[in-house]
Amino acid sequence: MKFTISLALLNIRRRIATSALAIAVCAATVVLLAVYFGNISAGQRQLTNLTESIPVVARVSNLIGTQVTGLQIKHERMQEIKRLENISEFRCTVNLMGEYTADAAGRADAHDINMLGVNGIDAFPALSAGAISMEDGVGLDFLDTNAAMCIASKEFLLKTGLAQGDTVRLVLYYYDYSRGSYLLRFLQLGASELKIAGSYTEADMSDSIATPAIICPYAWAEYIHEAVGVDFYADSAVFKVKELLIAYIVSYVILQGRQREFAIMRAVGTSAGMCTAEAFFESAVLALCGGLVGTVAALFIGKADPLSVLLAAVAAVLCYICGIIAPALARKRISVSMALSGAE
Amino acid sequence: MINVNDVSYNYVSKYHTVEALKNVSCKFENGMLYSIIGPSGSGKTTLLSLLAGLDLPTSGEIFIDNVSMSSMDRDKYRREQAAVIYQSFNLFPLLTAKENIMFPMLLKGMNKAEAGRIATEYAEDVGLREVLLSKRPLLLSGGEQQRVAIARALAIGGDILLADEPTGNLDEENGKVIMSILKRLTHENDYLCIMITHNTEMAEQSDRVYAIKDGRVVS
Repeated sequence: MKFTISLALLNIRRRIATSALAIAVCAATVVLLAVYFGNISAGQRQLTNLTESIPVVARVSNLIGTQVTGLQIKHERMQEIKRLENISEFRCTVNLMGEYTADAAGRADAHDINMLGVNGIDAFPALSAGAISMEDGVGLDFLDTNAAMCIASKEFLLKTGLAQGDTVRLVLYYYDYSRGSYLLRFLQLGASELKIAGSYTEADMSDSIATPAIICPYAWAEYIHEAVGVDFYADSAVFKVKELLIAYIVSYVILQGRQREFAIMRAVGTSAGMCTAEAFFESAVLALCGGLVGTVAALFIGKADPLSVLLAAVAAVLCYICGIIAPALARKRISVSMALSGAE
Repeated sequence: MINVNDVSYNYVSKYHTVEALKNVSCKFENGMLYSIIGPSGSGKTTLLSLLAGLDLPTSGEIFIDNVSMSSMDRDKYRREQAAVIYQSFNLFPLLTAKENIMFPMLLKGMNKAEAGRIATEYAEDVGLREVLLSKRPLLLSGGEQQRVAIARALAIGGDILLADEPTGNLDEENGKVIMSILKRLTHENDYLCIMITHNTEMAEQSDRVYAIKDGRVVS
């Protein structure tokens, strides 16, 4: 044990730049977390939901950053992202075109109705839920189903003479971004009907480049594509990444780069358990140093209360140490002779 | 003494299995320098890894002084009895030459002062100048690094020396020096030394040569 500790301390000292980086990352993580937790408690938000996750918004959007159109995300990719364990509040959109076909109101311009498929109204930040008037007893939850329902703009209702509760008949078109083609084409999906469950004013929308006349469920749009056998592409995806990954990743990467060193230790008779203990102790020292520096810094900044700082420090240190366990376990599976001969 | 009894070893991957050794049987005795020769991919290094206890045979048995390797503590075996010397030296890059030599002794619980004293003796034994002992491996030449590796092997204090192309990365002159050290240790200290080599001239200096081809001992 004494040898393990002295070896770990020697490694820390000789690998001073890496050690300093690890301490800095841990300290920065603690400060960021402490400020974050502090802000939460200051804002009287529910801490219980946030102790185990630090959400980071990830956004898939087009080059101009509007996430409105011009981007194709394969259906399979969307499903893969959605299935990830670290993902929450997954929101996605798809753009469609509709042709209104009610004879009584006359024909609207064939490609004049912008439609947006969403799986929640917050997927379209330009329109707030409060700006939508819904039919009595109907909520916006239907947007996360494949129900044939929609909300329509008051401008669209005025133009077509339709009202909330009516059914709008449409011929649907989808954007076709054929591979290798620079031209955007509209191809027909078929006729469909949607019940108008609510309405909003287009003027209430903020910062929207393409104002949709109809907002419908994303899953319904997906269902319509599937029904006619057309590949479905989403236009945007926004989700939150849970878990405190930064410290984990740093410690994991640092230790992964030392596989050969541990293989040499194994070759001269160090047991796998002792190798793991040495790595664990070495990293724990760095994590605790980083945690301590971060705690002092966070208290000095004064943006967070001591409880938040303590919580942040514990979370960061634990996360850093967890980063050690993965490569340490992986090390038990590697072939020492392969690692020493330089083979992958 | 090492007895290799009908040993086979397969590398198993997700998609295929490679038979690296097929029913290999041979015997190695103390005080003898053995060479294992054969083309690349013939199974030489695999055999050495098995002799070092870094892996266990898929079938067959290896006996060290009549004790089956599968039943022994293989970490302890490498810590106390068998040392491996590699072509690429495999020294700890952050430790000095002396600390590298001291490592096996400290691992066994010897105190630092005693380990330091013995390390200096071993270094002297392999012709390593004292001034080099405070340098890290990267500042040493290939020949010097290999001497450190041999001194570290001696520091294990066992009687089995396994060397995988020990002169492979060295020039001719240094290669001859390393070879003479191995011969001296084997014959004067009653070591059992098994060396893998491509160099037939080196192999001819050993007491017994095993040739391996396609995973089988052919002579």
